[in-house]
Amino acid sequence: MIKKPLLSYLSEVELDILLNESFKTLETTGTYIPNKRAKDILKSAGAIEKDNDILTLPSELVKEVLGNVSPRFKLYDQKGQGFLNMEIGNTFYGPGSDLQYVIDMETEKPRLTKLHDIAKHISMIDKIPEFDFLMSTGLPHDVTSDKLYEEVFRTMILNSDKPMVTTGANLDDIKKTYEIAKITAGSAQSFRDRPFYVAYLEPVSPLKTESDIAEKVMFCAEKGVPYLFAAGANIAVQAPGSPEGAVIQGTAESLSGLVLGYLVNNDVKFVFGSNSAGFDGVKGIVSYGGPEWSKTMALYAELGRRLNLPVWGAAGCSDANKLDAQAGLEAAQSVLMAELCGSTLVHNVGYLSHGDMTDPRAYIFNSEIIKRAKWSRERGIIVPGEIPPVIDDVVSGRIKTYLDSDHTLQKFGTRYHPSKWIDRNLHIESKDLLESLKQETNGLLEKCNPVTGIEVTSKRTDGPEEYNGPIEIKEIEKKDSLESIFKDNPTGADKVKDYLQAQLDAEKNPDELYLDLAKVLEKTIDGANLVFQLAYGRLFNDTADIVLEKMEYSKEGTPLVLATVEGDIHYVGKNLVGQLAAVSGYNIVDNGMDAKTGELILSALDNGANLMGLSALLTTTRDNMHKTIDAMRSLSIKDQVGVIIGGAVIDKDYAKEIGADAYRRNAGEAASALDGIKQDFIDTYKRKNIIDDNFSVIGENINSISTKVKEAMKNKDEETILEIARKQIDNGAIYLDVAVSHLGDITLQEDAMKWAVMTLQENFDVPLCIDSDDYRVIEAGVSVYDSTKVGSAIINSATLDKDRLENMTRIAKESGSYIVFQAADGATIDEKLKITDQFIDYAASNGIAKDKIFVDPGLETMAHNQDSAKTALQTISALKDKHPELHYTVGLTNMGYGLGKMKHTRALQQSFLKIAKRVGMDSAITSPNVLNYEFNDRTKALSESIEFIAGIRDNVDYAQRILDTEYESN
Amino acid sequence: MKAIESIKQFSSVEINKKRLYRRVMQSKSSPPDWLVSEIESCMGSSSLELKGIYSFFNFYISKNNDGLLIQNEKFESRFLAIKFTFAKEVGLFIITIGDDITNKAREATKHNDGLQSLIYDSIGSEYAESTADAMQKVIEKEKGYCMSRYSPGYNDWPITDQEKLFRLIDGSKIEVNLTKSSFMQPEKSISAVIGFSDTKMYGCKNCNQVDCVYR
Repeated sequence: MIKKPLLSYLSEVELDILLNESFKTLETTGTYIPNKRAKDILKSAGAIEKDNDILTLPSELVKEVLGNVSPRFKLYDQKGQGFLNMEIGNTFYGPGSDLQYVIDMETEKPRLTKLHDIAKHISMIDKIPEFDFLMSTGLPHDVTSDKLYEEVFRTMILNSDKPMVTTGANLDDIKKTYEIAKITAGSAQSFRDRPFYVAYLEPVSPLKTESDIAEKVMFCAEKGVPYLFAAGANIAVQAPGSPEGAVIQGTAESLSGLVLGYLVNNDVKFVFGSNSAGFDGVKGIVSYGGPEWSKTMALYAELGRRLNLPVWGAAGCSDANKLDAQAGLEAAQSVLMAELCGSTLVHNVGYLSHGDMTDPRAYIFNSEIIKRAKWSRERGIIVPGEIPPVIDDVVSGRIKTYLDSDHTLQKFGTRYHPSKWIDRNLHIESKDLLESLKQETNGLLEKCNPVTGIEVTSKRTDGPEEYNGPIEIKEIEKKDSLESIFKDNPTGADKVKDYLQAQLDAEKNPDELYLDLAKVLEKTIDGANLVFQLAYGRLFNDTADIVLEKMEYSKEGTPLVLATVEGDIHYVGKNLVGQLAAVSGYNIVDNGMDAKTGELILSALDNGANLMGLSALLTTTRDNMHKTIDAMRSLSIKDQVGVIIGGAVIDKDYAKEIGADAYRRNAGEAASALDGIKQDFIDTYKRKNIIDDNFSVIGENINSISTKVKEAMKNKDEETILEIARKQIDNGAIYLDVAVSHLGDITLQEDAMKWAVMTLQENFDVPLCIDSDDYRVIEAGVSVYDSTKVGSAIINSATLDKDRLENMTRIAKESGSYIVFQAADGATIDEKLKITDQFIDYAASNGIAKDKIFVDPGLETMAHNQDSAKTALQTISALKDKHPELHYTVGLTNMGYGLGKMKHTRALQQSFLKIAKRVGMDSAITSPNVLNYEFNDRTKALSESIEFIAGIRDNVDYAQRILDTEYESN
Repeated sequence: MKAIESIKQFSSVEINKKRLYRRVMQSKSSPPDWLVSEIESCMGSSSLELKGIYSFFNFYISKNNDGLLIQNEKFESRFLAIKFTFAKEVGLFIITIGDDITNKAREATKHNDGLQSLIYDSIGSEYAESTADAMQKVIEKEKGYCMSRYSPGYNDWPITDQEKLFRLIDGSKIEVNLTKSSFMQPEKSISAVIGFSDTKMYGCKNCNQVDCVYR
């Protein structure tokens, strides 16, 4: 996605020819580089010492470095908050450095520069928005040369926070500058992560890198200081006599500096390009304002585009000795060139007298030129059909003038607004430009508070981190360019796939490859426009599969239920969260949009999910987030499901108000937020949730309430009883409940119980639940029960009624049976908890361990008491937290009475069981196939049942719904 | 008295590409070439069924200035009451572009193609806006100058008043229906109320707000 320049001289072929000439120069002529360490580094990468201290660099080496060096970096401001995206095509402006003279604003005459001038210029430039970065502007004559660059750098930091380009005479200056930068940034690491200056390093043309300069390059590379390596390769003096020739040499010089830095540190941040101005043989000066430099700058920009590197430029400078028409002409031409050809870092703005002098007014003067150039570069979109109706409106007289047109009101705002000192008056009122500029400048300077001579302190508020020593020198390795292929082909899945396939064929570890791809995606979409995030998200999805197929764990991960809430149909943000979370190892269970509370909870239950992401973009629908969270709370599963919410109408306060666990404005941050919250919910889930293998169905069908069973018991009809038992066992019953209370007097009951227990035990290896309110009947059953065969029986049940309590616990203790305690009597949850504690205490004092106790919180018919299911769930959940060793059970059948026939309420029973298992209920007395029912429309039947249990639907509505065919089951 | 409803079919409408690009880019920056060609290809594959229904009504501003009374329905909005003070009559209309584009967006979502989904969604929105503009022109031809149009959910006019609007004008005649949460189906439909006045309430000399910033 390289931005197109508006101005281009050379074809691709010509560019390649030009580049090859530079490569050839490095390969055959080589570069003078006497530094021992630099020579060793270059030689170990393939450079050859052709002559004493002259090294030739093979084209292959240079190309390899160019193929792997990062095409962009961020140049931060000193606070580390904003940044300039240093990438070819973006154009930034700054002044130049090291000028001897300045025009004194009072005398209007040139004089030597002082440190105070620099403070003044910098604090002024700080306030001019057209200036993106700082350079020193002057060489102060009131500072001794050993302290000069250090003092200048300090003064710049004291007077502006903008990013900067620094210069220095020797290695010592570069090091001192870096030390001050570390203080400003807070730490070395902070500077490395968010560098705020580019070091301007200069080789000597032609092709000489003196030892000191090589040290500077290696120092910058090691410390992560961005740098540029630009000589004064001026036409016909230090370089060949044509613009193209000078650029060939300048390019060779610049690239030699890149290669050395890259070999020291692969993460080098580099600005390509050089300075190739024209030479005036008559006056004997290098021209800063002539058209030659503009042209070479354009050529460097084109090469930068070919090499995909940010480029050094120069503009806004003049040979004129004061701010006059020549200064305007020369500055305007060069700024327009810089803008149109797309140089990245354009310096020297405000230079006069061919690089010898500046004038404070020149900064304001040039800001207008920059503004005009930027406006000229902006492209409009020509929309077919937009303009003719506007013209028609006026021509036909519907609108008097264009000023009355809607279109004008909308579009006129994009017009160019000149600075107020530009003279557009009638001639009789004309203003002197220099005079206006002077007023402007003085006005601006009054607002400035230039500072010199104090120490700098850290400008960054984030905590300092320790610097971990210099980066070791790395061998060049064949680094893959997945990143560039990915970035350059947003719609080119095939190209990325080919690359990935080649990697897999070369036996690259698929896990690593997947991670690489995910990292590239993250890096590419970091901070990008949503459209690009979506495009690259899709590219990732389309290409990752061929790697995923080869991975051992393909799509396993922490499940995340994701949806746009009921009533809302905005889904892009939600999908993006999904894509990014999937990359971070989440298994996305996408419930789409307009997702209802019941559907979301069902989805969380079905998938064992502990995380839910909800999105809403309308104020009218966001309350459905609240509804879903509240429903989970009333079902006692909220402590197992963390909820993250997002969307344009959501903020932190709202998230807090409705009890969401996290809120993120940005989709990119959602995954890390999930990482942060998930553990508690997963832990609670693991502690409470009952998996299928640990769940026991107690088959309820051998109950004398059924006429068929009653008759069979009376007649001792083994065949019927065994048939009923077999059916339940086949359907998954772990225990068989035996209840005989409808048979009549106590002896008949005792007798029937004995007969049933013996008959069942003779035929099946299934433990029994001996069920009666009367301890005598229980005792009769237990007396013939053989626990050695199939394990302990369950005695169902005890209450706090004294007689029943004492006898039931006695029988349980003597026979080693499990015992069910009915906590059904308490109306409120607190009462149920209280009486359960009383029972546990009593049981413990009579030698019954907690793990022998089942608690039944009672479940009433919901037609009469809709809260009863919620109460049961909340009771079990609270008890499970308090007494994890206990077992929990409930009689399931009653809940649907009064709502409809049994066959209509199966969805209700199944839904309740699904939730109850999640809160810790490990058994139920029920018809065994309740868990296996399949419904015509499972989602509708179960999700609406869940909403009924949670109290979102009332029983009149629900009783009507369950008659629908969707609720029918097999 | 039931008002007379007219149905209008549009064979095509022009959409504002600049606005479409902005909608897709969610910024003013120009889309890159690959994106433009993807947008073009989505436009090429979208089929449209542009229809509208409209009708005119007398109306009253309610007693407390808190809404518009049209037949026996009241649009609850102080904002509308103020905006329509100078109107002599109102029009109601519903337009739709059909559900093909929305289905395509959903299909894209299903396949996790957020980009196409966004593009189709944006194209749909632009076509809906342009169809509403075209409808407004039709009405303007019949009634003269139209004031701005307003839709339920805008400003203080509750979205639930959509139901009242649909009782006054029968959207089902152009196959636009309301969901329980007052959303229109097909999704890319627009319903609106629009006022007419004798003179154009536009241009500075028609206005007596002397301290207005646009003067």
